[in-house]
Amino acid sequence: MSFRRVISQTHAVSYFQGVISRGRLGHAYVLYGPEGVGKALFARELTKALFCQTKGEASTSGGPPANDACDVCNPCRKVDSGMHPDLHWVAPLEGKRSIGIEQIKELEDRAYLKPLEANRRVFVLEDADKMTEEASNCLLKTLEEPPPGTLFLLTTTSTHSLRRTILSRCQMVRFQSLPTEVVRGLIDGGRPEGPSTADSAHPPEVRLRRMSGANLADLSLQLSCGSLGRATKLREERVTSHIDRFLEILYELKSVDSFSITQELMEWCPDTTGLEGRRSLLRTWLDLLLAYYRDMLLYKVRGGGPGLFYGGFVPSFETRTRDLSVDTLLQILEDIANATEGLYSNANLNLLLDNLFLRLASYGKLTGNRRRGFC
Amino acid sequence: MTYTVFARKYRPQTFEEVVGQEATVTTLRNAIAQGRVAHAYLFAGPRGVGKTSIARILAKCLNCQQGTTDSPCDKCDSCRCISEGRDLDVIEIDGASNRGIDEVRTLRENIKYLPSRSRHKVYIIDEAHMLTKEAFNALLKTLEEPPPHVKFFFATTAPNKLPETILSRCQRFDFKNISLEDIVNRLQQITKKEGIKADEEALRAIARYARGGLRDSQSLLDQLWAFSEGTVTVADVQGLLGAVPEEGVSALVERFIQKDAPGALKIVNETLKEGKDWATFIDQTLWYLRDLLVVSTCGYDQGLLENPWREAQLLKTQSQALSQETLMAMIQTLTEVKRKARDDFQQKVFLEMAVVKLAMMDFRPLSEVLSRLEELEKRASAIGYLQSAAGNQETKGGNPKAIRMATEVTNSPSAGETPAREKIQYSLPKDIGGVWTQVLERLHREKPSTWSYLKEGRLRQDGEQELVLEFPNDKPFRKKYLETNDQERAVVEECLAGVLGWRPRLKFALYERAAPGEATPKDALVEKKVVGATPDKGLAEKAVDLFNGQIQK
Amino acid sequence: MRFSCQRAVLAEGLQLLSHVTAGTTTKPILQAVKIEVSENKAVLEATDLEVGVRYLLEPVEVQEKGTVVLQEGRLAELLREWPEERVCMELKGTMCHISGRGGAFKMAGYDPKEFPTIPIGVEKGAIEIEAGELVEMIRKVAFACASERVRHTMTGVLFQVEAGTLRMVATDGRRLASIREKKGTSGRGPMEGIVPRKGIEQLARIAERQEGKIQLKLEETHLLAASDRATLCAQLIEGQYPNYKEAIPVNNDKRVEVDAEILAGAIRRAAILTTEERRLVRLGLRKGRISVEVETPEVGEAKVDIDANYEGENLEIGFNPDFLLDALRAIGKGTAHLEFKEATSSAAIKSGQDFIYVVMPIRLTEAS
Repeated sequence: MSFRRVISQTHAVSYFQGVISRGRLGHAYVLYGPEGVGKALFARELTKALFCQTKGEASTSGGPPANDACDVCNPCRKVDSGMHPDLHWVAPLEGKRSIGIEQIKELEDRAYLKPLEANRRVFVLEDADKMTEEASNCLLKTLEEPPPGTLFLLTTTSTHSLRRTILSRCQMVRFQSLPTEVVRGLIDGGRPEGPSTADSAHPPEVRLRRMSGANLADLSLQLSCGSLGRATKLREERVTSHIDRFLEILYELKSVDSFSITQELMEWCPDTTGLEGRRSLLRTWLDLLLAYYRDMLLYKVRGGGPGLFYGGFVPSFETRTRDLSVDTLLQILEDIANATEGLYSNANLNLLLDNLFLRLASYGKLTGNRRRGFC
Repeated sequence: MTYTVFARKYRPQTFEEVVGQEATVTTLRNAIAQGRVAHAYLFAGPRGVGKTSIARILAKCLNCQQGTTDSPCDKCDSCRCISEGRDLDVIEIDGASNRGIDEVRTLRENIKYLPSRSRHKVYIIDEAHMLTKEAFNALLKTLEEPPPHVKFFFATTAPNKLPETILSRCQRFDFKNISLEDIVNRLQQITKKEGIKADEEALRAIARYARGGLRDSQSLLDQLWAFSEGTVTVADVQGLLGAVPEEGVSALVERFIQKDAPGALKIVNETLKEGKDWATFIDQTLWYLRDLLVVSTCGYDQGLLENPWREAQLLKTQSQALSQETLMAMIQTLTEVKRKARDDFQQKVFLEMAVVKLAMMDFRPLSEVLSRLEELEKRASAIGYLQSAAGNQETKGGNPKAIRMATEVTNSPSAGETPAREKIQYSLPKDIGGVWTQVLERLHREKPSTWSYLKEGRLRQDGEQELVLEFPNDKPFRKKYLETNDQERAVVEECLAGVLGWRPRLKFALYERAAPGEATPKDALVEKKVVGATPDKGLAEKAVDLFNGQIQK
Repeated sequence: MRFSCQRAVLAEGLQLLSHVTAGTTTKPILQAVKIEVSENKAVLEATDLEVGVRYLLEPVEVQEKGTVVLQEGRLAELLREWPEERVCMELKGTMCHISGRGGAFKMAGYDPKEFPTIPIGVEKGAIEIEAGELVEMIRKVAFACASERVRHTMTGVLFQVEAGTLRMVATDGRRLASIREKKGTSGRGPMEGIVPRKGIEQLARIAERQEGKIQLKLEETHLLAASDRATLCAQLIEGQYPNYKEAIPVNNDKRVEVDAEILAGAIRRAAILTTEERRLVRLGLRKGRISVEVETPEVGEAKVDIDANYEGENLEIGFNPDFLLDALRAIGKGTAHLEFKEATSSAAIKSGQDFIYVVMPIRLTEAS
């Protein structure tokens, strides 16, 4: 399948195929774009295209185009199984959040050895923004003037999260969000060969259909913003089993005891997979909350229309937004954003949520005379 | 087989080829001509402006086999080996990979030996800011008085990370960002040599994007050319960067001026839908607002603009519609969005929020806003929260260091005697518990470790300006910890100062816990905190106090 | 797969391979050893992608062909503790069974398909060299490699093959060792490559165990070496080696002949009074003799005079005693030829036609 496995990134694919065929492949590229749209997959497929023994030359009829991998030769298979000795993959070590200087030193040592089986060495730095300051500085010299036949592929979500000293030494290739339809296809249709660990074992929940017109599947697709990785994660987190109750809570926010909301939410987000797991689940709920108020903001500003996460709720938005001014809605969104940020600090989660729901509950009662700056 | 990228291919090999660092080059050439080459140089400046290149050229000047010269031959074996980084006597050290004391010790040992074939042993220490403190210290003596055959060239993007003791032993050159014109000229030279067809406007766009880094511009040109079929155009540049055409940006700002939030939202959504790069879009808008600010402050002066090719008339009209305060507030809001968003979802929503906000922003002049603020203050002081509001404002907006300094000054005994201080009315709010809750919330956000010591504490007033921080009597070590740990105490005091608006004197005591054996449920942390602070009020009620609201059942 | 052999045979093979598997942590399979059993032989393999070694187990009794990949450390440890003279291994499913009086063991293996391939095939175009000579050559140069990572090329030994000559060069920028042997023929034109320290050490280990010839072949990306029982593949270091020829002085006219062992003894004695901070001896050249002098403040002074064959002008020149001793140790017994020019340029120490050692002096006035 080769580059054809890389979905919807025609720009990147044709760019590299063009560059390779003109013999103008540089030595360092930053592949940037939203998470879960296939950057790492692409890095792997590009490596295969470079290492492949046939390079798709042989097949003219329906086979892979030039400068693509055949997927069957020995080098291709080795890259796929992660065993190719000339592909060096760097990502945070297990249990670590960052890529450390030791990993870069090891990479350096490897870079100064000649390739073993292919005619070049490829170094992929997955989530290169996770390099520590030391690691990132340590890479600079090698990144700028590597030994001949070296190719660096750095993946990251945004060029702005990399240091300029790194960027300045690289060429940049942008990856785009996947169209919602594509993500839907991949998630629902299952992927014959895909990058992710998705499980599509969850049967569509019956109660989903009861959700007053709001299509949950669409909701999670929308929330994923064209990132297959995120869409998959949303699926796996089984938000579905609590979504009805969640929507109820949203509706009754003013009358429900804030502490009990926190309690309930914490129960939905067990820490069975550790604190990180709980944070990740909470993040999803806060995102759902943010999306909800964002929809109300958009409704208040411009009325219904396309682009709403909770499109199915539009008929009820009129009543829901009646007591809320645009200012208040902005303030609410701000509060949710702050709480979300709090997830990533060392905050006490109970306290964080209590605080948030108390604030949310208070807004309906205010007449909007409390204004604070956005930042 | 291997393709050499422009940034490497066109690395300057002689002083003549160096772009945009005239002052540095002239000074160095004079030093060589007069035989006054220092033993240690520091080349400091942003990325991609020629620090390492000049260090190598200078090494060639010193070691060229034609003799010491300010224009090395670049043909002899020494020159060539230096260019290729494999000369035995010019040793380029990556300060980021060899940053420890052991590496510096080795270096110190090595400099004793005379050069193997050249006049000088040159150490080029790149990314010098990454050396550890110990490594720098180990270098000091060597730098003071190195053997006459040794030269040190340090290159760094962060000279502020080098200790003063090192800086004072080096002759320092600060490299500038390279001007737009210089970059465009260099790019034109390259396109000519490589036979690349490129619009001048495209080269200018590249140069603008490079923001003073010549290497950045070369990387970008390389990339565009590697793929382009015919002529490199501005659209190619924008396409590669995921940038929006300039008209898109001015249209968005126009929507802000027209207070057309739906229109602004529409532009944002279309832009994101087309797959444009979010961060680049914000950057473009920021630069546009910045140019408006420049026009509004200094009048229209093409030379000052980030993008001198913007439509002049439009800039003038728009800058008149927006006050400088508004423009600055807009810039701040957008900057914040960029900083805060963690992923695509947040990027989208935060940007929408910001756009709505900007499209609804008050363009009224500051004086009017100020008078409104005063009125608010009056109302706030009525309920005893004047200081708290002021404190909040301060910590939010400004530089925390400055604030800390300010509080330290007021706290120092001598400052305490000044009449200025006496004039200030210190008042403790009636609701000490409320203050304490705020302090706890703050600590919890900012320094959870301290919070965990204090969460069961409570605050009591003692006299005019003294507060007593009480700890449960079964946790005496917490009191002791705070008492003896100046740093932690400062944290708490600062936090109190933030809430009160002035810095109280703090004492410590123990209180008797009502029922020490009482079981404490796991999730009661919050309640406990509340009970500890104001035993008579629930959090909800206090919240109502805080917001000046009423409870609706 | 099923075979048996002497415990000692397998243990010795593993011992050789253990230097390869040690130290790699990133991929567990690189800490493993592959045992490939064919009709009448068994071959051990290990690689860390920098150095790969194949080793022929002999003699073995093969019952059934097959391949198994096992963690090297555990297997070696088990063999050390094994009470019997013979050991029998059998693959059942994915588990490798080792049983006998020592107990019944089942060890989980890796998928052999995931084991990296080690290039082999030294037959054509190799040069042949006596194992003992190869060990000697390595001994005489390898110590001069750079240990710091500042310049990667200098951390290895340069191999040059040209017109039937093999030359090895090593330098750390302060001294340089070069040795040349005329041996056999090379099928292809001049070749060169930089062999990393790890590869050199492993090559020496293989040669030390071998009597007879070793075949060496430089490929584009690696060095291949083969003895009767072991094959080595060492990855080469990328990049251009420093121009070492420029560093070898050609017109050093002050030439001394001296007995290497006597000079070494004198330097060793004098060096006792040097310190870590001030590691410096001064050689004084006078007609017919060399003096080795040390003056270390607060420690003491030493002066050792030895006879030498010298007719030139007087010269005082400073050196790190260790660097001189390294060269003299490489020469061993016999005459050392020392060549100087002046106090500020490099000195050469030669022995015979083929060994050249260049050492940079320390400026005597700057020697603190």
